[in-house]
Amino acid sequence: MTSPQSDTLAQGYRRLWWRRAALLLLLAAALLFAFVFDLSVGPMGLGWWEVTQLALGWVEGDAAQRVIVLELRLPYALMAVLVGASLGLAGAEMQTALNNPLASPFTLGIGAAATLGASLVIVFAPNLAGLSQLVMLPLAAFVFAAASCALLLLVGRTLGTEVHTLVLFGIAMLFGLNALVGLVQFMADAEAVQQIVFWTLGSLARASLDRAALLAVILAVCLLFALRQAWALTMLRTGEDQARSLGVPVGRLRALVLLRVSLLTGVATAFVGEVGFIGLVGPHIARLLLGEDHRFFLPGSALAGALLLSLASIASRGILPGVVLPVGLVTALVGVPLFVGLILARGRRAGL
Amino acid sequence: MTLQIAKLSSGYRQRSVLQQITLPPIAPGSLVALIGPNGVGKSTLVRSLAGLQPASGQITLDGDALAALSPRERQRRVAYLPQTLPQATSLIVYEMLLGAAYLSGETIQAQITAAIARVADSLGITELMLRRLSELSGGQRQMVGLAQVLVRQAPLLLLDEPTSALDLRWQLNVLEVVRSYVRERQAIALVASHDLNLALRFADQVIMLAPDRDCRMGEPLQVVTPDSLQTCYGVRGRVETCSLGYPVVLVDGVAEQ
Repeated sequence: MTSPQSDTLAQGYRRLWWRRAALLLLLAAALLFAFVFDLSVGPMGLGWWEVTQLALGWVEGDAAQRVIVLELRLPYALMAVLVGASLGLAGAEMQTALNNPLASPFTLGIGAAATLGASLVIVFAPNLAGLSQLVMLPLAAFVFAAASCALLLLVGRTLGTEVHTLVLFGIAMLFGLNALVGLVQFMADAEAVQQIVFWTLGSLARASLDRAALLAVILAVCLLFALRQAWALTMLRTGEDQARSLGVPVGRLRALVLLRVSLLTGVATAFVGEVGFIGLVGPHIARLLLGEDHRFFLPGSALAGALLLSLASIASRGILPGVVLPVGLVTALVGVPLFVGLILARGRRAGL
Repeated sequence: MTLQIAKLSSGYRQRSVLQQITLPPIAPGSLVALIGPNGVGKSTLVRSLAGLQPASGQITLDGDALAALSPRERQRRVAYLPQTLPQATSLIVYEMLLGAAYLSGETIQAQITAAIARVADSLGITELMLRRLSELSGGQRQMVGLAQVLVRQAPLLLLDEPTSALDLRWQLNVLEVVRSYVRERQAIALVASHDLNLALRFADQVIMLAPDRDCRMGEPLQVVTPDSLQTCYGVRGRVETCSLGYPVVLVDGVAEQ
């Protein structure tokens, strides 16, 4: 029953599908390249092949090499990839669920909530209940991020799920939380202020393999559940009424998205502090490359976020030899020009 | 596949819009126009039938009460086209139809592909199918939105002003397509519209909602009369037959109260 026309249409779409699959693979390859490069940057002068062999356990290497690559650089590089992927995915889901290109964990106050939790621990409870700061800091950051998401959800429930209200509330919450962080800083002594500032700059220095493993599990679970709702999310992009008409339970979908976002953002920021730019820009890069079919867009955003933070991690150690700059700073410094370039390129193409 | 509506009431928090609407059974294979002035509840009626608006009363399709169906089953039988156009996003038109087909429970790839091609061909939008929504004009997006509804192959179509952004040629084309869809499948289409001439020309039945909560349904020429134009729309108008035999509504002016 298929006419020649239907064949060409289906073929045309299949070509598009393959092109996107190829782009996704290309992103993954670029990420792998960046990851290995991230492992090899440093004063040891190890090449990428030696590093790969060491990391995979193919060669023993001497003790110093093993310590540096496996215990220092590997957690650091892994954490960059995982945090970037988590924030990229969280931002992508938020932008779709809230139908707003400016939505991201950090523009709607979830990251600020994590910062508030962390600064409260730094200033008021350095040794609460015998738990060290190593445990308390991430825990508080996560609890506060989750609480801010719960508050967003609650507002959504009571005011109806009018999207713009949610976004406005998130922005209001961001300002409120920033003011509270300022207040905490104002009351703190100089050393605590320094610690808070260090947190807000974002740093991979607190990375460890256990933490990377925990984040990897959370990322995998969230990505799996997100992909199960890929078509529902895709249809939400055509419009809220259109999605409802197709039987998508929009309110419930939005709640589930915020739940995943709070998990991803809470855990990721708990370990590395504020890395604000990724969640906003990762999805935009993925959208420019892959479009908005969420079967491609969601993994693409995760990969783009991971690639960005991995590149930032390389730059954070490569810009000033011997100095490790806070990765949150570098992300913005590397990411902004890249992003502006992409926007300009798209603007020129659209203009033609 | 008969649609029956009895004692349907609906509205918003403070304001009831529809009260106890009861209509004669709507036969399969019919295209029904839903007309009435602004704010009278055309969209509310359509949304209540689609299950997107809380409503009381009985709505049965082919003997099954719609309210008793699971959301998934309900949207498989009832396809609703919202009044708002699809958003101008970077989604590709083909993906939009593909998603609609998947979410309606169709799983066989070849059938989906064939259905998409058929719908695109009938609406004449095949060349738009691989473009982004953001590249399309408002009218083109409206056509694409309708394609998304048709590809679901539901037995009840609820179309809220499907021709509001279209030029003359596409208005006719869209209603032709909807009419042949309804005839071929013995489906029912309920089309809310402001265009009385299109309604007179294409509809088998017309439902007219009036501001005084009066609601009547019948043959187009029995419902659209100078009298009902006066009471319902508040205009002085005539219904005449043009030289080709189509009934035409002519409006002479605003009625004095």
